[in-house]
Amino acid sequence: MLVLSKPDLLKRIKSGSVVFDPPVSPSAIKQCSIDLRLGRVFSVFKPKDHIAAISLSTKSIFDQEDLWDAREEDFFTLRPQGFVLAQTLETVTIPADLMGLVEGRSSWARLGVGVHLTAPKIDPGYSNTITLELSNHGGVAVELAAGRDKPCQLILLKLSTRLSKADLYGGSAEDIFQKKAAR
Amino acid sequence: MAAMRYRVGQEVWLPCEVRPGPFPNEKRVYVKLGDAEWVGFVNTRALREWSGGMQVRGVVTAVGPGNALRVAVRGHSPASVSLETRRDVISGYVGALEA
Repeated sequence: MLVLSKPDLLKRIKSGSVVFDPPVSPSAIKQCSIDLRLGRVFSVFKPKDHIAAISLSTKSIFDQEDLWDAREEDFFTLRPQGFVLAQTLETVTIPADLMGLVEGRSSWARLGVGVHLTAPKIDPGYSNTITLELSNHGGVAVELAAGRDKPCQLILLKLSTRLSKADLYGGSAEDIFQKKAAR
Repeated sequence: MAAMRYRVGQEVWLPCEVRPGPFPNEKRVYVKLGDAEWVGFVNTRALREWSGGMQVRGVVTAVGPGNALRVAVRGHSPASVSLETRRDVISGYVGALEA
């Protein structure tokens, strides 16, 4: 499995093989990763007095009332021990021969801010924003600026064999590329 | 009604229930087809209204032998499972399916 370096990232983006919407700036493309920006939707758990434990192997997660309160904001203050769900500003489309890994930033980690919880893998065929699970393990509040802050970096890896359409995450990546090519 | 033919990679629309999720563009979805169930989070682009109900996009990942059919719903499931169902069960929703 190969990690795509800057020249290959630039080629893939130019050819439309990897798509970022809105596009990423050239300065976001690093040696072997792409910096992604923070989106404008922040989602926190609604305070609940009593809530039954959720079983992850049954439909109880569906049976719960609304668990989240999602708001569109330009800024969000993440307090110490706080947790918020967010998304990348960019919709990322991964082709059938690549996968992605989303990673945090060491500079953010120095302030105690973690960017994702246990789920860095982006499957081939994925076409969506990337969900970020932001938590503040540090001792000071951190202000997050949507559209400006770059909380994460995407690393792209080449698969040993390109996947078939049935095995793709979304099953429609090819269609998306065809639409782009037709524009 | 003649049995519908399915092929691996075929996209299907499955009837489902939908509730709010963590983001405006990501909902909680429940699918029940016969004995098979799927619960998870789905982007709104993989959902549609159809004949007064909601449907979620899936893709056939295995066909047969016999009557067996496996469909992967395009979303994030805590249980990380596909829908193991039968052709005759899914054919009951033929009006809700498209190739």
